[in-house]
Amino acid sequence: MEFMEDKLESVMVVGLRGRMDSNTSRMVEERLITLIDGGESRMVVDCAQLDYISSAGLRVFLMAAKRVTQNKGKLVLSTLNNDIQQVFDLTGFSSIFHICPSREEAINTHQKGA
Amino acid sequence: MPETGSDIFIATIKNDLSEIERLSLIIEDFVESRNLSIKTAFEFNVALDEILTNVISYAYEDADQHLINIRGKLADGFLTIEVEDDGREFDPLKSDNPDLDSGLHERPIGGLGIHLVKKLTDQLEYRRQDGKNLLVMRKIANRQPVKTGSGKDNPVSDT
Repeated sequence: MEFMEDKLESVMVVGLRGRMDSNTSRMVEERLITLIDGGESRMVVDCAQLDYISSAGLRVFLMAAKRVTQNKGKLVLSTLNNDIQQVFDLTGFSSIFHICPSREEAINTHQKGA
Repeated sequence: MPETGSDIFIATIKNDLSEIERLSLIIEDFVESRNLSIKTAFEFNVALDEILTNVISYAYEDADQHLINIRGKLADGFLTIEVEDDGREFDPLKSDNPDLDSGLHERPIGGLGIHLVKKLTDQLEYRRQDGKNLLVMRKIANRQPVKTGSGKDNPVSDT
């Protein structure tokens, strides 16, 4: 699992590369919690290079989104591939997450304060 | 092309979560080499991940190494994958349906794994036999869509 992080003004963009399975999702959990607890509240998780997700990965996204929201922030996901979108659809996660088709649109949702 | 026995694979993994990725490569290889759709590999891999995560995390009462057998078979238009473990008796099909409707704040964390297994497979059977759990997962084996070379010129090397 690799992380590519970019801070664009006040928006923290975390690109994920690899697989979020029950073994590797823990790394993502630790990274996202570190960022959130370090004060990041406008977050984008770019999934363009995320190949795979199981329920362990969904759990991490849900936990991170709850935590950011508690801090009056927001977590937006972008660029899910078709396989990952399917997993989101089957679990109802598509309706609880703000998901954008591109990284730029996800960043813009923060800058417009929407 | 070998015919007999060529549409079977057998894999054995240890009760360690890092084995799930190794198994996923075996599944991908099998699916690709039989020209089945890549989507089939993805969906089976998620289902296997969920089942194996449960087994590895909860089935064993000791800290010993255990082996889990995975057997795959492509026949009669179905890809069938069996998972056999020697952990405590557990029928994953008896799990409750999760909450799929509540919003971000109310949504409980967890409980989605078996739901995904049910959604991503076409048929599921559980048996307890010889002191082992046997879960049989079956999916219709769709072929990889054939790429049409129409339209743009698709140069064939003439050298």
